[in-house]
Amino acid sequence: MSDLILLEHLTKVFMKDNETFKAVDDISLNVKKGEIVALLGPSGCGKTTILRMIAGFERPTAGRVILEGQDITALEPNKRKIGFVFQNYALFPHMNVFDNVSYGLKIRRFSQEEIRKKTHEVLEMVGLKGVEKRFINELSGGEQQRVALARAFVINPKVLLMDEPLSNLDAKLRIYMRAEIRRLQKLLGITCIYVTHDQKEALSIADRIAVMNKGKIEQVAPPFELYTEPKSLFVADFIGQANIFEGKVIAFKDGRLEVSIYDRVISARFTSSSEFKIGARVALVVRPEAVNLTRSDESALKGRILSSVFVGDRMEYQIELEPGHLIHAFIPYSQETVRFSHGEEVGILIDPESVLVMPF
Amino acid sequence: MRKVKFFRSVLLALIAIVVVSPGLAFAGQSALNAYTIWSERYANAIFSAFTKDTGIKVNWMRFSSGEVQARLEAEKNNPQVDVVFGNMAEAFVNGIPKGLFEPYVPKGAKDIPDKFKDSKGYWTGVAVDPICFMFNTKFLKEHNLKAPASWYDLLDPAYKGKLQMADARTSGTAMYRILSLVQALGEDEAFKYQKKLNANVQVYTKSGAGGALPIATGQAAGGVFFLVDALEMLQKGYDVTISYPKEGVVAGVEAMGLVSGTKHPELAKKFLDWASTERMQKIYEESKINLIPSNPNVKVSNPMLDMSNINILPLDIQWAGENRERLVERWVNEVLQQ
Amino acid sequence: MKFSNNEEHSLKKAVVRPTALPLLVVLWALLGLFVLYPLGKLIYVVFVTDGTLDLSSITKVFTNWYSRKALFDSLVLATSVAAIGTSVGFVFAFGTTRMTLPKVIKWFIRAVIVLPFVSPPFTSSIALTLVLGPNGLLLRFLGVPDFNIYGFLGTCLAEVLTYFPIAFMTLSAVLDGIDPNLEDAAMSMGSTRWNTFKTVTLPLSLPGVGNAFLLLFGCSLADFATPLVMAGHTFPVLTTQAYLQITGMYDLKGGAAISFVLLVPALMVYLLQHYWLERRSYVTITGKSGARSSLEGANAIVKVFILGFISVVSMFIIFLYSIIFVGSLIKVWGVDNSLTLENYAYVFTVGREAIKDTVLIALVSTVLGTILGVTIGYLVSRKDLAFRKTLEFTSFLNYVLPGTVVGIAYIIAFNSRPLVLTGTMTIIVALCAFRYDVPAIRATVASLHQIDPSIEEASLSLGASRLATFLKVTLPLIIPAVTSGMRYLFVVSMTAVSAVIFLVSIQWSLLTVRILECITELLFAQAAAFSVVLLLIVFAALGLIDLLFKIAYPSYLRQLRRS
Repeated sequence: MSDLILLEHLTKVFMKDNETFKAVDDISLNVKKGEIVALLGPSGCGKTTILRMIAGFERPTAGRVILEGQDITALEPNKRKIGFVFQNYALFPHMNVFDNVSYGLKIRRFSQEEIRKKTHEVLEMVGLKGVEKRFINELSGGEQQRVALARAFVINPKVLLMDEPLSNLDAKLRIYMRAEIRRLQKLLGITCIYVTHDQKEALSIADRIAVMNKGKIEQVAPPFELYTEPKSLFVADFIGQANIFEGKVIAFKDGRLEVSIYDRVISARFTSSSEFKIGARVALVVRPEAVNLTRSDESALKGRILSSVFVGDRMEYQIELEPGHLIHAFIPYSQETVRFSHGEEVGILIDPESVLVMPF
Repeated sequence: MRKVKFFRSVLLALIAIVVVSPGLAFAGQSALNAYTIWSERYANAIFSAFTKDTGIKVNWMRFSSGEVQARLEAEKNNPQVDVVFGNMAEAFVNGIPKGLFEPYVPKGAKDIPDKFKDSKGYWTGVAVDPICFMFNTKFLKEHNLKAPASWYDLLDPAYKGKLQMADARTSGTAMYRILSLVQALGEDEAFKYQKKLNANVQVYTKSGAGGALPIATGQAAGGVFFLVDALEMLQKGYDVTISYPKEGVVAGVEAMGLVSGTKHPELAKKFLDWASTERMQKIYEESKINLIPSNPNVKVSNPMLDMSNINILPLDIQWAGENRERLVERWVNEVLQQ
Repeated sequence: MKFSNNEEHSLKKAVVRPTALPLLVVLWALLGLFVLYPLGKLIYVVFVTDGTLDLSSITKVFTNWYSRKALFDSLVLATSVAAIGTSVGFVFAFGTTRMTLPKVIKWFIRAVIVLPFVSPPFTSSIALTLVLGPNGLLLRFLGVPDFNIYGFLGTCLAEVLTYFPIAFMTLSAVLDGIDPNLEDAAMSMGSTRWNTFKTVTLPLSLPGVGNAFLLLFGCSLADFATPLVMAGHTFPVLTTQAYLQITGMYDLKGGAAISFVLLVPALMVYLLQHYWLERRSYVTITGKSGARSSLEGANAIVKVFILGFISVVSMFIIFLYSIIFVGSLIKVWGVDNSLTLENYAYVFTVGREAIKDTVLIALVSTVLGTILGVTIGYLVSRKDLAFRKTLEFTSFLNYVLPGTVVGIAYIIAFNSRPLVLTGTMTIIVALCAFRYDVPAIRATVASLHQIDPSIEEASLSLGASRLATFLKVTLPLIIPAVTSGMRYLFVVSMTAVSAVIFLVSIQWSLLTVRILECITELLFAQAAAFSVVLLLIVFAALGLIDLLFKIAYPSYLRQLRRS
């Protein structure tokens, strides 16, 4: 599959209080036809700015936006055939649902008949049949979200840009709508760039995720790879939860690293891209679900239970290794699970396969 | 939806009409424009008679004497009217050196005595109107007062805060009140007198006739007016007493003239010709306008308009016109300022 | 979070709003012609004689006894009206925001707010004259025949009654904006109601009080109609003196000098209000405010007193306005009290031309002023526009300055070459449009501010051009602002007098000028009839504007309900 959208060295510099501020710093990214790519990162990392440059609402300071092989960097937003779903939906408050959804069709001068047909089709698709005559302020948040989607879908855009579309919904609806967006996107085969700061949303919706930090892309990868093979400490920390320890490389052994931590030596994986020297300070990344607790194992790292929280499907423990040094452990909950109480001394078992070493 | 579109276009059309219409309103206007100081009823009688006789429409506006003068001066470079009708002769005299008027001797002027017209035709008198006292009869009775027969009678403390008369800055009546006093008492004495009189004045009205109705209805005791305004009250059935000071009064000459640089000189001349005829001055009596015709051939039957027993002082209109502004300023600075 | 939350948002620019350079050029040219040029000419006439600097006309204002008294009187009057009006307004505002009021009183209050706004400026003066003037209704009732209303007392009373609703509205917004939790907190700490008022409510509302004071000061300073009717010769003020100087004595230079003396305090008041007071409001600081507690703001006795005061003042005002109506149906007030329609016959014969002219002028001014106001408002709300603040200030100038100043500036500027406009409708329309468009500008700016730029971006991304976006999305969204601006324009174009009185001509006369004429001739019944007719036209037009927009924009009502 060829690239539908290509971002080349995209840079955006803002002036703010007489200081320049690089919101987007030399970003390159490709999106294939029919794919959902999520831009994930903390607030202010520049992801929305990228989206707005693709849509044409901002002019890049440098770099190019290429759509279907054509440079559209300087093209007016209304000539780009790109759909946009806004965080606040940006529905027209002075129009009813039908007029909102059919707006783009009317602008394109479709016939009355076609407008009616297409609008009803898309409204049915998003499950909004029967509310055509309602005004926006008479709709629930979820319904407004669907109108926003319908309005963007109906013009059959080449690319659909979504800017935190679910952030205004409550938790349950958000999870439902994730699946819904994914379903519709696959149904229509629409190419999609999806901005979010919610990693779960990104993981569950995207084919690939671009993790951003301070205007740069840290890593672009499919969700599983991102989780298991983070390329930077930032990504490891940002995606899922992670215990991060400082350690020292002691030796290479069987393609793995021996790292000393709290006077213990742990064998750990590392990703091919990084290089390590013996004696170097490194970061050890351990996912909390890879940590197990025991009362018996003598060889294990020792610690004291500081807190235990039951969150339904698992127990979340905080264990103090040394004063000021904590490790988190998530233990799946079942009837048989051993439960540890506050203050208890425990042995900590770490699955070596899931320990990842990274340069600091 | 279609209905909405229809109404939007109606709205747009309305806007367009509103914006375009003033332009249209200007087109095809050829009427005589006039300023007058005569009251609504009088002016209407005269101008509609003119329209009836000639078919020429008249746009007219009435202002007090000073305002007419001020407007003419303001509009000098772009005159808005063709004739001034009924303003005081001395105002015309005042306007001649300022270039406000153009001479034109109307056809009927030959019948009008020389003292009531300008020899060059800058102004032609249409009526004569003396200054008089007008008092509320009931007030006089209640306070056991006789109708004032001297200027000094007005200084009676019984009238404190009860007199209404016109403001010299705007009113021709006030100008003639001052001229009467100057002629009767001498200028310096006239201003000394007015300074004292000030204590008895309730309000100086903007127009000359402004105080007439309040006096007629008892809101004020009396004041100094042109006879025409006083007789108007009597005619309307109000119980007022008209009297004259023994020191004498002057009679105002109400005149008309051609505005210089007018856009319709032909219409203006037609009007001046018409208004100088006996026909016009006869309208006074027909319409119960109590002015004394300037044309001696026009007879009046109202005995109140017979001036033979009244001390009418001579007035040098030329002097009055030349000293108009000085007298007004003196009035503001000496009479108003206490 | 490591990054400040708003960075991306605050950096968003409204890319959608097009830079209409030709539009901007035309606009500046018009503002230059109808705002800057007349003012410049006024200043030139005052300070320059025969090409050299000459301060004599200004010094004459200060050395001439009568105009010095006028300056002094103006300031005394403005201070008194501002002080009394603000106090009355405060009592009203406190009553409505801190007490539960009976329905009748609420209805009264609404009438009291609306009536002075829609009536011609002389209304309260005429009514006061009928009631308290010579032979007045109340005077005879009370048996004090020698009371003289003309002068300071009458002027001040009439102005307070006309302008205190402005203070009331300003202050009730301020009092409403004070977080009620603050007052509740003071009470829960043991403070009495009086102490709470003294230590919390009053100090917090002080900037609002200052603002109301300045607003009223400006209104009174600029008021022309009221002193012209009520002040008499013993109490000259600057506005009427400038007018008499020009219309009575044809002393343009002298009148201009007096109006310049008037311009200075008026401009100072505006600047003070705009650049100093606006920054001192406490009200907006508190974020989310709690619910207003059901505690009454004062104890029972004080409440009775306040309620009594509000009812008496409101009823007096309603009484005054009904007097106008009654007076219009009576032959000769106080003398022949038989009912008659003669006065209306007079209005529709003698005043027919004036009614036609006034309505036409008001309509044209409304349409043009609205277009102007929306355009300026739209441009001014663009953050990236060059000289944005200058544009705003310039467009506000004619509105901020007293009508007398602007009117005089207009006759000076447009009575001679290169552009002779006196005697035309254009000059009156230009004055109205460039003076009374300011509320339309403000409303447009405020409502554009509320529109999220993403709504316009959404339209763009759906394929609409910038123009189509403006027409189909932006414009409908600011319709409520447009209509509120329109309403103001129409009402004020119908009722204004202070500026246009210099500009009426033989071709174009105005209703308010006719009313003034009736008053100077002391034809109060006819003046009252004119006022009633004018009021009815205004109400009809307001209804019509609403109706037209309701049909043209069906979502309009919905919007109003939302906002």
